[in-house]
Amino acid sequence: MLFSVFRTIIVYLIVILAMRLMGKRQLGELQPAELVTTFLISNVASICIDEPDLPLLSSLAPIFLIAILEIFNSTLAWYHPRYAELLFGKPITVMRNGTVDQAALGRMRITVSDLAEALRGKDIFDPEQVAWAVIEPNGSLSVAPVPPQDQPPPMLPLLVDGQLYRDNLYAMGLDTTWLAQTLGARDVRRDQVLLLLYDGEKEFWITKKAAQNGRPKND
Amino acid sequence: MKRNWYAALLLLALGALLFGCGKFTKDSTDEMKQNVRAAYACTLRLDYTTAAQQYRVAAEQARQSSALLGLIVRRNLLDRVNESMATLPSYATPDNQADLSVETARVCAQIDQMAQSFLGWL
Repeated sequence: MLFSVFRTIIVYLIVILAMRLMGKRQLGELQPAELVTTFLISNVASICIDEPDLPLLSSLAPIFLIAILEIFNSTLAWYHPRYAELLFGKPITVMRNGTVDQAALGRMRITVSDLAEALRGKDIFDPEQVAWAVIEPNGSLSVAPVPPQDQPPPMLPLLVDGQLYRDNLYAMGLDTTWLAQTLGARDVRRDQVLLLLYDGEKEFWITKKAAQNGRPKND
Repeated sequence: MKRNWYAALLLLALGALLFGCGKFTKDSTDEMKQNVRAAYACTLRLDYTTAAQQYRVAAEQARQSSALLGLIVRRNLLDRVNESMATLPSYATPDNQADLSVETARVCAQIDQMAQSFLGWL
């Protein structure tokens, strides 16, 4: 019995240390890969507490190894947006200007009643109030409401970390030629753009990823 | 990105710890087997008193290294080895030579299984 008490204390401290090492990112809304990591850690930790026959090291080593892999994996995703997209997925537009994209809902196996429930959770009861709604990679719904008449339309992402949001571009009546011309006019390559938002009138730009010291990276 | 350095350091420390544990397991199990075989060799020379003494020493050494081995290998494998080793001195008599031979082989196999539980790959 004492054995399992000591083990529980040690595993508890080690799991807290591992979660702390992985950072706040792990404690917020989880991406699929992070969810797997968290499940794995909790399972490995519980096996060690449940089975006193197993050596402590056989639980502690995997906990640290999973935490280390998660850190390296998220760093790799930070450096390589394509890998991040593969790992975490991409936001999917499900509503635009009050119209539900049923094909997108079907691809994600989300029913209209699920969508309506999520909208109600955001205090939106009239679909006409939705300018743009996306299902984020972590499964949550983000909504840009239709602004009042005197307000500008919401800023929508066109380029995020070099990744093109083609459906937003087409929904604004624009195309890749317009984007290429706009980038050309600013003498910026697409892969240099960290964030480009556009509301149809006004653009918001962040070009080039900052290095660790906060300064823009050299080309 | 400091976290990456912490992770890299932790990976190194984990690697070193696992390497150290692997080396300790191999050294300990090799020593256990060597002690048991040396004791058995005494019985082949018909020196049963020394053999019983050596089996006792081997059992005591195994018991002492169990404190650390218990953190590395499965507890039931370790307990089985200790139980088997504790019985060996009683077999070290001229009447029990055949049984001793079987029990010594059993202990050696159990020690191998214990080493395998940490050093095995799959």
